[in-house]
Amino acid sequence: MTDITEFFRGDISRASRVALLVVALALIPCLFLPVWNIGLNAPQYPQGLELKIYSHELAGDLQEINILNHYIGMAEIEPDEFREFIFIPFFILRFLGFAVLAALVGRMPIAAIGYIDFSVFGAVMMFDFQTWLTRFGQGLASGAPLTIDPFTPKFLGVTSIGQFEVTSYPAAGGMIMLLAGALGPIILIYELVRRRRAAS
Amino acid sequence: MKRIGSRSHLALVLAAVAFVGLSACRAGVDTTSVGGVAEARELSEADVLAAAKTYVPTGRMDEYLMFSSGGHSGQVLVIGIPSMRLLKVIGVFTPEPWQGYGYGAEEHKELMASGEMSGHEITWGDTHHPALSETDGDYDGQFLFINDKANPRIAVIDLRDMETKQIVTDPLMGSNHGGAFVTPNTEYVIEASQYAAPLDGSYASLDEYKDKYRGAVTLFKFDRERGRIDLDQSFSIELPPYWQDLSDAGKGPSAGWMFLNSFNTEMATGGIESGNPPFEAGVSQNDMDYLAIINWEQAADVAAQPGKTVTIQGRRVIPMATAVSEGLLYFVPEPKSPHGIDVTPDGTKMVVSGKLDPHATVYSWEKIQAAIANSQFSGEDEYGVPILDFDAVIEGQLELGLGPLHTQYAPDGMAFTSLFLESAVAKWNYETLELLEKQEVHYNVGHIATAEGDTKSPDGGYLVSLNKWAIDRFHPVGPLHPQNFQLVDISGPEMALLYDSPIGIGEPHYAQIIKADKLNVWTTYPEVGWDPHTMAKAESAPLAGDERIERRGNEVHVFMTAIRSHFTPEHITVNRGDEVVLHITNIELAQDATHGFAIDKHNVNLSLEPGETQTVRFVADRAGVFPFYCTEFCSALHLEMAGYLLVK
Repeated sequence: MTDITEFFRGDISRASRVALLVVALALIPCLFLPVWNIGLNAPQYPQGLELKIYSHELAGDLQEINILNHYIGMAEIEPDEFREFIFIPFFILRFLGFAVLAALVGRMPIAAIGYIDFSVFGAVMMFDFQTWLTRFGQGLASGAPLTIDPFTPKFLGVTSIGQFEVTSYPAAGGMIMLLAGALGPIILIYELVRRRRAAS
Repeated sequence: MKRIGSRSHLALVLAAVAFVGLSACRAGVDTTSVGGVAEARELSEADVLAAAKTYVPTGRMDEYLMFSSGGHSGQVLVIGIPSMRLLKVIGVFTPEPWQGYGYGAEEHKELMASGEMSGHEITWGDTHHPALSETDGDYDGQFLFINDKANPRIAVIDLRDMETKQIVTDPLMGSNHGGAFVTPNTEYVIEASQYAAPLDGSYASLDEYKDKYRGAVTLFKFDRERGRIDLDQSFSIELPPYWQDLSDAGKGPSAGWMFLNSFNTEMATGGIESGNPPFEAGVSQNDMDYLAIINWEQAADVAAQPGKTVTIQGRRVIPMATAVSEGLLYFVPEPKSPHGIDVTPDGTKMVVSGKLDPHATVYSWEKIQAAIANSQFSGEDEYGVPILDFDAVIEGQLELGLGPLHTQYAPDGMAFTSLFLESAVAKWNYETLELLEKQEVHYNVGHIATAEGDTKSPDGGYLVSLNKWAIDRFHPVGPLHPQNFQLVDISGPEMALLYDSPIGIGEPHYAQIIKADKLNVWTTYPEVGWDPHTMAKAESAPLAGDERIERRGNEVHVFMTAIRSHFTPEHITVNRGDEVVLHITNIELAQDATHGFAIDKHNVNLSLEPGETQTVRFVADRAGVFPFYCTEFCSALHLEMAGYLLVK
């Protein structure tokens, strides 16, 4: 037990500090790149339609997707309704801050708190995303021109709705964040191994 | 089915055709192979090759676009090359319901009104010669101009949305033919008269033909920035009462000059019923007519000087005498009854073909310049226009065949000339004056068009023969036969006829072929609320959320939007006698999401393309219930995209 406490109180190696700096730098484009993509494919859309979810806004063929959605009574996707867009960029900046600080100071506690913060946030956001998808898919208004059974679009993967194949997957920003998240355990293991070696 | 894509495939196919041909008597027809189909459909090797050259597979696009006159349909046709597929009929001088052109929109009413002749509404045109805008002597893909021979007018089409933007009239002329053609940077769009008439539009007896009747050439100043002809900066030059025909602008060394054919230098006035020679004979007596050589660049300077022009019917005209004294106008004899005058790509030679003379006559620009500089004249005509000495200015003549009409170019000195009487196209070299080959066409070819064939850098590759008669080439559709556009492969050492394409809309005269990638065509309008007439976003355009009905005294303004699959509002209730003004915007952003808007029994049909806004104004003069609906099959709920105009 004391080993672990000791470990979390300790310093981090130069290699890990460089890795943390890389994470910090990699998080910068996440502010400008789409995080998640929802693609719609149907015969009459040879180029497909795309809803691009950024950390701060929605972009892509929003109007066209809303036109299609209204036929089945789906609520209009209104970017202003998503309060998440106000704070997500600040969270990304916060993780970036933690990563920079951990890299500069070289202390394990900062890195650990930053990583936990990031992971919790990621999990909450994925849950939030699925909640929105469920709300849109299940809350179809009655009296719409086309009646279909309510459905829950998949947060990751392909959902078929009428002539559409709806594909939801992480975009460039999301991939970077996932990779950044994967780097946490790698740094942790690396640091553990390094300590063991130093101790023996 | 296998696609004939590569050379090796083609060789296989041809081998298969040959094999099937040999074994036809013993084998059953295999319609799953190219050879089998070729046999079943009795296609020769050449046919299969032609099919492979013209076939554009499903989902693929043509290499070139041809803009063709629509003849007396008054429209312009857009046709893909080499597939010959019709892509669009652009409404120009004639109302066109699909594009909602002339069916209610105020913007189109204004446009059509600008084409009225002396207050008379004209709803057709005899479109002859389209001209693509040029930059430095090459097509730039921005604008298209076309003339109306019957009612002397020029239309301006913007190629971003391929819609007509402007129609200007030429009140000076009785009819026009010598255009449209453009100067190398589209400074001017030029048009020349055909049948002479008094320029002031007044009556004059045919006995006064020589004194009162005149020809003219008009230089319409084009304001590229605005995409409009600027009439204030335009001017005309008075010409003798010969009948002007085709024309072309100089380029390269001959830039700044233009060339204009004329016939009826006899100044015959017809009158077969009084025992006079009919026009057809009277105008064909002289062995030589006159090619006019005009310095348009200097003419523009002269027109800008005070006192050098007179104003006739509100237009500035340089009188003939001034044109002569200022050195703007010269004649040179040309073989009788000329049709085409076509400047070579390098601008050093001018090729004239006279319908009743079997030669192509090639003039040298260098020699013309020298003759002008040295006043090497063989005389002057009745109106004092100096005539250059024919022998001093020609490069040579080449016998091509019977009835040469019109010449187009390809790289490496290649020239192609239509032979009307022979129903053929002659291929020849304008540098060496050698006749190389002839290709039969079907039948009575008028103009021809080669790919970018009148620019400084023609592409070669394809030639389209615009034939006047089809006779037996298509299934009969009544006594009125389609015209026949024939596609000819000119890429190889020998010409090869590829395809017959029927044109069932009018008698097109001339066409121009542009590389498709030079065009920058919009697939939706750039902003929602776009007025294609002003090519800007309209302030008054209703947008989503602005929909309302406002009564202003007797006027009821309806601010309406259209989106799949509803209009907002759907109920319009007015009183009989109210003036109804509908402002409608298609607020769609999706490609191809066009909505129509038709009001039953009101002769209203709009085409609202994605982003487009239009205005309709009419007096609700009948009480009743009038459904309105979307005339484009916009969506699965298209039938439901409707509403009611209720007139109390």
